[in-house]
Amino acid sequence: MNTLTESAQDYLEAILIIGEKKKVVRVRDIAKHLEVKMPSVVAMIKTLAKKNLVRHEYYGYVELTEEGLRQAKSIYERHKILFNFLHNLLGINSNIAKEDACKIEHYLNPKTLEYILKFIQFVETCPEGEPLWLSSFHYFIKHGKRPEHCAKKEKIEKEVKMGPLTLNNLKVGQKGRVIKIAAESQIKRRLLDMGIVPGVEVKIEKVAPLGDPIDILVKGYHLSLRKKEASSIAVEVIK
Amino acid sequence: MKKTIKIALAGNPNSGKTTIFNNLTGSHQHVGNWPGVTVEKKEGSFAFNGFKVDVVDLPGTYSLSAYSIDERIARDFLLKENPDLVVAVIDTSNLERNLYLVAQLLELGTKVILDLNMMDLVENRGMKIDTEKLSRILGVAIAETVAHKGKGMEKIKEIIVEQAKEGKQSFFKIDYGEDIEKTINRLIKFLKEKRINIDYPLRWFVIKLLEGDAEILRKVKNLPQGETILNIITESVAKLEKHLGYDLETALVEKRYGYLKGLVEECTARHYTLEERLSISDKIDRVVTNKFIGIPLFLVLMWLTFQLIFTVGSPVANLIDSFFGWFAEVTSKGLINIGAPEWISSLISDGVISGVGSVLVFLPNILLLFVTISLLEDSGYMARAAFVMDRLMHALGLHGKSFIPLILGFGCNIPGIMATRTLESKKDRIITILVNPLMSCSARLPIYILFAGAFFGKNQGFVIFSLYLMGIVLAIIMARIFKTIFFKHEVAPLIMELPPYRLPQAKSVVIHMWERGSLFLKKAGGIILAGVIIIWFLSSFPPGVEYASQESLIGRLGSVFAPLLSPAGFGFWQAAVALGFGILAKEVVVGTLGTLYGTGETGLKDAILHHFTPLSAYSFMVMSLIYIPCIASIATIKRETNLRWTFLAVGYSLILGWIMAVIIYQVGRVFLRLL
Repeated sequence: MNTLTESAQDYLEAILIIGEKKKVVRVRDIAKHLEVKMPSVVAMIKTLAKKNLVRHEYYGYVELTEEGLRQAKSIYERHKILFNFLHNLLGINSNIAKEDACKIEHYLNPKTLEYILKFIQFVETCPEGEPLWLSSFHYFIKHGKRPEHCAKKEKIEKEVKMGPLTLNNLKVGQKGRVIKIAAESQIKRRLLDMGIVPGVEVKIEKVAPLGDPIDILVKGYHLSLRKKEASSIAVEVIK
Repeated sequence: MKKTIKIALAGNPNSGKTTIFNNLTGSHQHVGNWPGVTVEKKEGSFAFNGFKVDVVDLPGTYSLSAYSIDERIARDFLLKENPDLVVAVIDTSNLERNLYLVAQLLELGTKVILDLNMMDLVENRGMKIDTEKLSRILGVAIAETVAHKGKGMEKIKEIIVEQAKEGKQSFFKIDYGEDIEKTINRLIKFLKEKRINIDYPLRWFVIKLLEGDAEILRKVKNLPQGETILNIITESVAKLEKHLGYDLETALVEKRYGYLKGLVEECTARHYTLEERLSISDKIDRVVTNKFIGIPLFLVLMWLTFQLIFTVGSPVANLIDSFFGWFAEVTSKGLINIGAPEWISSLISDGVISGVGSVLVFLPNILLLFVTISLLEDSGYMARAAFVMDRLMHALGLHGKSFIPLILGFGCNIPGIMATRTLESKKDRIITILVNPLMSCSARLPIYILFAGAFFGKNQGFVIFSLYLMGIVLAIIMARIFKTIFFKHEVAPLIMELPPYRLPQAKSVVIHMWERGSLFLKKAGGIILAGVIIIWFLSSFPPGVEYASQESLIGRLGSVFAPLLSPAGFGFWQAAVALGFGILAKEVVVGTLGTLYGTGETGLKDAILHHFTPLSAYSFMVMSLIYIPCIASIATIKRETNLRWTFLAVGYSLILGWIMAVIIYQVGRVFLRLL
């Protein structure tokens, strides 16, 4: 396969596609499909025939050999994968995707291609249909901003930086030990100054009548925080 | 010869600092502003043993990290004004967190006297503090006080004078651990070698740089070798953080608290657990912030506040009103009898005397308002109110604490706007300020009482209530709009101490009330008086016109603007003039109408019954509610924000007021026709 030039690959692919649509493939069809002159087609067909990839009957029909069919299919597969990636996943419109798929396909290392293929498979076989992050990405492309559920920087930070247990998860009466604070700098400094430092013991004292904020005991005094602030404080439960 | 000592009081909010200040200075105090900002600055003085001691009360803060205006002021004062010493007032029953500020004061290199306040609470709990040891370790002199009982005040004065005379600087230093200390020392050495001129204590300066203190970093940037220093700092911080495993700021604060924890353990005989403290306070809280009782109780308290202010205050106000009415009349007659020209008599009785009267008439309400506010604040309930209401206020894009300035706005928008200083974030402050004039202040009440009384008889209470409600609803809507337009992506946290409940002290309630009352007289009084005299002038000139007739200056102005108001149902020159002068102070509307209809306050009811319909009376009240903040409010907004926000406050309310009045009049007309 590596020995074939780009245009040779395009020819094999073209013959395959035309062959799938029509019963027979003529030199004229190939020239039309690839938008080249007839003599060029004839010359290339001769080259390919020499490599034993196509058979060219005297009355003008072109046919792929077994080896030619195998190679053409593989090229076509690559093309489809790339097109899929560009069009279905990234959401690029089909004309551009088709054109770019043609351009990229010759240059990619098979390994890269394999990973892209696996990536597509992984996404497409997601049991919940299109994964949330992909929808979010499409939303991002369309609207130029993140959808609400992933718009908050803190949320991402929280998920990345800490485990799931934060102060807002504790129940009234439960005690915890502060592990880390992952809030925006001003809020963080305020919390630190108020004595919410790593290692300090806190206890959830009560929740306000409307469900927010909460009241915690820390260093012997009452401090009230919104659940949002509390969710930036990672804790471990202590019995 | 008398020698002067300059001291500052520092301390956490709720540490009893203000009570100490009042005890120290008594009546020798005055309230001003910190230069350039709008935070209140209290200064006072006392004499002791031949020394005169000037006391500055710093804003109550938990820290000196310069994230809030209060902290910045306190820090700048300490750095720039170099007081002879700082008295750090601390709530001894919560030693550790209170000492955090003290540690920062000491790191800053100030000379500190530690005032262990609320010693009674500590003793009641059977907790012993080894003050000698504490004094030795921190390297500071210690005074023990029970401020609300006045205990220990003579002793602390003695210590202040003694320390100012001869006390030594503390050698206090927190050990931040080997790695951090190495870096600190290396950086100090570097700065010394480069001979970089810094006005701050070097070690403190370096620690602040390592903490990433925004203000200090900004200052460094402007130094000649700023870039180099910043690069070195960034590098050092990165190296240390990699080593420590987490960020340096957290590490430094943690070390500080770690040190204090050890210190407290070492100096207290019995270390209590979290639950043992505050037990009575907690029991109260179980009721006050209870899931079911919390909000109803809050509403009841607000209702009581209003009852106190209006039901108790208004009769006194009426008394003042009639006194000045009588006095103006008597003076006028007396002056004419002794042969004074009529215009002089008019100026003095209609201008000056009724002007002073219209200032003083608000005093009872305002004094009572501040009594209530002070009771709520000093008892510790204010923080609970914010705690209970935060969810709701937050939904409006505001802070639980915003509720306080908004409630104050019902009394008078000026203290309401000034109270926004308790809010830390600019967003909360600006929005609360902008919508504050929609809280129907007591100065608008005379307008409502006049119109509702004249047109709505038995239903006047309901009508007036509807105006208050309309103000609140509009405030909610406008707050949302302002938040969306100007502060879309800003978050403001709620991180607020719920202080233990305490019995308010009569003395501080009275001082607070008097302070605010006199502030009102000073700030608003002059403007209102000037307004009344200007009206008198515009009504009497050009010379020879009949007083306040259409030919007078005022009448001509009104005629120009009147057509603009006809869609709202009151397109006559008297209404336009009255509204125009309402800008000076809203209650002036009533007086102006009285003057313009030539009836004075007594016959005014009949005059407006003749000129208005119930519907146009209502739209006129709506207009009076919204159309513009009074000049004193505008001035306050300007002081608290900047010109841009002030223009916005004026502009949006003018437009909104006109739109609402027109809608109500036009829709009302259609409605009445259908009936």
